[in-house]
Amino acid sequence: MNSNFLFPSKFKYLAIILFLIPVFCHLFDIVLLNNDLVEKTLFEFLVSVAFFLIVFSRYKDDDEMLYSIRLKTTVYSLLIGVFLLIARPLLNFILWNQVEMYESAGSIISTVLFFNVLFFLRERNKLKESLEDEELH
Amino acid sequence: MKNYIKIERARYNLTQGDLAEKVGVSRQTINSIETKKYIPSTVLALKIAKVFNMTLDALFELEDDD
Repeated sequence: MNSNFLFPSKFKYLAIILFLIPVFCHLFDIVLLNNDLVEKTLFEFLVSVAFFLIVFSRYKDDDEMLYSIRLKTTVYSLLIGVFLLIARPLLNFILWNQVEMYESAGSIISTVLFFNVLFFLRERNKLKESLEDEELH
Repeated sequence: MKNYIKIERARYNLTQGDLAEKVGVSRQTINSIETKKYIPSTVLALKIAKVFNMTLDALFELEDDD
């Protein structure tokens, strides 16, 4: 199967570093920029890029089953993204009578990528558990 | 889809890791195929059948719910 569109597996380490920068800054109250809004935007950007790199990087043991899992998780996360796009303004209106039609594209893509990572890790853990179960029996 | 990979593996004295290495996939994939959690592509199925010197229909069998 052609997987030329995926980054090498080493990009995952870069993604982890990018993800940890905002986490550490938030936990230890480290101020990188004086402007709060710019800093918040920068942190959101770093987290989105980190998720993007995790989703689109190869695993060392990538094979056709992982490609099929990747495809399945992409579909699930896209469904959640579309659901949020439709449901959130509706819930805002019903619960708080606020008319806020659409979220920004950035937050929707971040949500899609986040759920993609979540689903993929869940599927991989299931496979590992299945292997461990067999080793025990 | 039923398969006889585990039986053939035992006959040839191969571990899941050995078979995985021979056909170029991970051990998890072989395990998932044996436990019927994943249906392999035609190419992979043919590679596995080749390892055991068998035809596809001798190694894989359709079940009623397929």
